[in-house]
Amino acid sequence: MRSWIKLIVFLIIFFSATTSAKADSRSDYDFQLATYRQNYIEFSLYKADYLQNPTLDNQQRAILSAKQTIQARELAKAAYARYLISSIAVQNSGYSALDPIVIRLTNASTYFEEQARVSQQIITADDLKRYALNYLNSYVIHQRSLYYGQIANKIATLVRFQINTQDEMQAMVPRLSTPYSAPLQARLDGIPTLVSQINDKINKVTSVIIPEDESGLIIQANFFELYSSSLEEIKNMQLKLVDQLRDIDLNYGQAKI
Amino acid sequence: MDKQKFEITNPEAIKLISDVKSGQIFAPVINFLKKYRWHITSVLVLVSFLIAITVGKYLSGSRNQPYTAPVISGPTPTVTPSPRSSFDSLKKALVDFSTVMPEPAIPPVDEQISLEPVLSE
Repeated sequence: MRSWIKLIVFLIIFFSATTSAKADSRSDYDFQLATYRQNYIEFSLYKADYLQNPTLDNQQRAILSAKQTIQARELAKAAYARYLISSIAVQNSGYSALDPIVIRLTNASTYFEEQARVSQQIITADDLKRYALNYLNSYVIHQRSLYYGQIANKIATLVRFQINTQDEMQAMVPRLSTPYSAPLQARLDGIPTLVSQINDKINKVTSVIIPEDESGLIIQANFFELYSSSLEEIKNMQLKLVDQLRDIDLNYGQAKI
Repeated sequence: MDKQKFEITNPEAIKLISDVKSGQIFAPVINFLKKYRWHITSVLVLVSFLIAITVGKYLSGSRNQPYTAPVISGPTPTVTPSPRSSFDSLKKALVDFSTVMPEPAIPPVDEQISLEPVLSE
């Protein structure tokens, strides 16, 4: 009995901690993004001043503002990566195919945090130029990880639906009146096939999230559009499955009126 | 037994009776009516007119009241409780699930923050 109580307390703490982590990373992301936007406006003004009147004073002001803006930008990206990681974790899908993407997100978060730290070492205009060049050569792969994370987050939710559906189905079976009638048996026989089709589709979509060729930038809207139709297809298949199970539950189970 | 006979002997009473019989006693009233006959007629017509207005107004007021239809209870719709299934909440969550661009999205940021002039500036 005590072990049950311990387990329940552990689960409550675990889920509240995960949810809290998600909320924290989201608010952190919002804060860093707002800071970046504010800093970027200031930087644009200082840069314009410097380009119009390139004095040493104006240059220093512009460099200082650039450092703050870069730091906020990188911290916003790191927070976004953490937000995606916690969003995927909160689904508790246990879907191992998403692990590589979670690892990529973790690496991206570390990379962006490191960039935020490195950016604070910029002192001269040459430092800033060198930093910008190095960044452009290295950030793409980590930026791509954020886009992969968006798809993985959606997949994790769909996997959670799949798990919940199967749990509900297991709970429904004892409610069905036995012996099974021929129409009920026919309906039940069709369920595993549909479940298998959905699982296959999820596996197929997940397997191509990280492409072989990762060179080049991603345009967010275009990239997500590639997966939207597949996600919609999985969703519709799951709706079909749930409708069939609901129909069985209402017609053959002991549904509550 | 002899029938007793009453005889009026009072001269004032005799005069009053004779005045009534001759109609002389009503002469002042008749003279008054003759003298003010148009006035009296006018007052009567006016009073009749006022009474007619009052009665008409009363009848008119009672007829112009807004008509309120009697309350007739209509047919009560039969409420059939929709059957509930443990899959309902799952279905709702699935329907609400969006497959479009996630929120929050990755914001567009300037990846090339430097002091170099760019063409757009």
